[in-house]
Amino acid sequence: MDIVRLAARSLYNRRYTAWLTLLSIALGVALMLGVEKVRLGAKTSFANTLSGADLIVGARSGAIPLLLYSVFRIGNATNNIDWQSYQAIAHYPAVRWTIPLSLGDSHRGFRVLGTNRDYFEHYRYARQRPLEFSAGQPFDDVYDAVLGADVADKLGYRLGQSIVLSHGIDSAGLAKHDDRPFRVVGILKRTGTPVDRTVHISLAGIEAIHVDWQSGARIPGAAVSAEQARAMDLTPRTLTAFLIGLDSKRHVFSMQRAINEYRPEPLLAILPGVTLQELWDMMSVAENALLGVSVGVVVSSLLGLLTVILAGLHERRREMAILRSVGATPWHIVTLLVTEATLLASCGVLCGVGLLYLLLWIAQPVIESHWGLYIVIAPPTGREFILMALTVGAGCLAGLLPAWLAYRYSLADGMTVRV
Amino acid sequence: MFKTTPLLAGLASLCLASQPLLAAEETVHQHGAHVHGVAQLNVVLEDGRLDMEFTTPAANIVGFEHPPRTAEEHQALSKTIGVLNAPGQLFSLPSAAACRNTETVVDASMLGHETHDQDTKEDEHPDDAHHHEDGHHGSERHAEIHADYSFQCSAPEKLDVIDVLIFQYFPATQEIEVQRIGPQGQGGQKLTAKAARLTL
Repeated sequence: MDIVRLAARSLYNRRYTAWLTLLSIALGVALMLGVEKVRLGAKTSFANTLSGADLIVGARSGAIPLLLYSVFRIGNATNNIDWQSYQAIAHYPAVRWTIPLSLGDSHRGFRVLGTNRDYFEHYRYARQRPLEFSAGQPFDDVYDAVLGADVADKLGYRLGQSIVLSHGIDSAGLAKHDDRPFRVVGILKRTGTPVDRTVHISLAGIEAIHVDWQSGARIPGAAVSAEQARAMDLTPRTLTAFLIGLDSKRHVFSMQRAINEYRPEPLLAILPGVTLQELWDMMSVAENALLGVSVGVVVSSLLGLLTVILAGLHERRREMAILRSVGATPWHIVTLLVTEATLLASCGVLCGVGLLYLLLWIAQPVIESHWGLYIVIAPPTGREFILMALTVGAGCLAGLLPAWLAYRYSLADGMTVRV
Repeated sequence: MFKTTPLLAGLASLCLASQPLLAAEETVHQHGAHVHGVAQLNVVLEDGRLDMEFTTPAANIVGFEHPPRTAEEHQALSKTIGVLNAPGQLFSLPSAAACRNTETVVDASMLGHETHDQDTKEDEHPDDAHHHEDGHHGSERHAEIHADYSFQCSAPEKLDVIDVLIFQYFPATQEIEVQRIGPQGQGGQKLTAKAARLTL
């Protein structure tokens, strides 16, 4: 214990270099653990977004893009699928439920999703959790809208309020569907998934706001009032994608094949869980690169620690000699230096963890609102503890080299040092 | 992801709804990917029943993709079909799970080989004819072999891994893309000769 106190005092004596070393270790550790947290956060929030759907069907493109645009609202569809194909597949005997998805419009930066009431009944997230309403109910009328928790929170919307949707995903909202306002009839409870950032309206609603639009602009002189639109045939002609739930998992693969070989239209059916796995496999290269870089930062900060101790060693030969003169054995000197290194590394790790949680606490809402990534502020995981322990261990190891040199000096120097 | 594979038993019912459309036979050209060296394995475990569907380019396991012409080719094909008909050799299941092979269907019709299995009913393969066509039309001279296996397990909770021994019998197989559905949900895996253990 005396050695620890002595090491701490000695560090205090050189507090400026010690602080800087500690800071660089702390930054490295915060970066390394932060990469780890974001990786885990991304995985969980992706994995929790969709549960219970056996297949996702969209126009034939890539499996990963289909998963990203249909479920995570990342990117856009290259093609839409025909309503007839949807109807045909939805009536296959093995199909228990389907959820149609029609994307492409937005409301003040939030995506608008056209769907039907099956969405509220069959959509599951996390571990088979259904969607719940914090207020109101599912849409009924053509011009009804159900808001995700974030939409309602951020924009301060309440039930009964009327909102105007924008054409396309342009948040500047140059092309507005201002002639057909929607009424908020329901607000969903928070799910921690992209659902929170979605405005849900019926497929008929999507059709209704586009009846007098052509080629991305309103047809001049062809104004159809909201009430006239209501009377028109609002059966959609196309969909972006749809989700399928089957009676038995056993039918998943034959259904997937049937859809992939569907003659009238080239379609793609994916198993969301399998595609998510593919996405992780693809991302693992980037993940490892990020982790590698952050480990590199930790290593270089530990090298900094080594440099600081080594550089100080020469100046401290007198200190060592005095310690020896008051009865310290060479082994005491070794322990002192290793303790100093370990102390610096452990304090660095602790400060790094503190810094990380502080940053997470500040950045979490920002990350969530900008990227929809909900990073859980939870105690460090086993893997993170291992990374921390490795850092302290490496710090302790880094102390061994100066300790060995000091041991050599203290044996040779005796009291004859002149600094 | 997309594969041209023969439709399976049970699909007959699924396809009924689209039959009129199929009959219209629009001129949509659809060509599935066919990569030599890569095979697909679909695995479903539900209610104690384990189903596995193995689809592979014939080149991977027979060495050619046309109906056998020489005596050697005939011999190679029947040897391959013999191995595919022995799921006990191709898959090693944990003995604790107590799984019993209940059905095996090997379909090499794209190589002009007649399917003859004890449990197969003719009406379960309504689209064999159409696939036959698929395999030979145009310049697409690719053929696939398809095998279905069913197991009934009395302790399915013990079935956590499956060792896939296909690589040992068919070394031309470089990679098997697995899609699996088990108690843990859906997942994907890529198996190679060095990492041939499938986790459910």
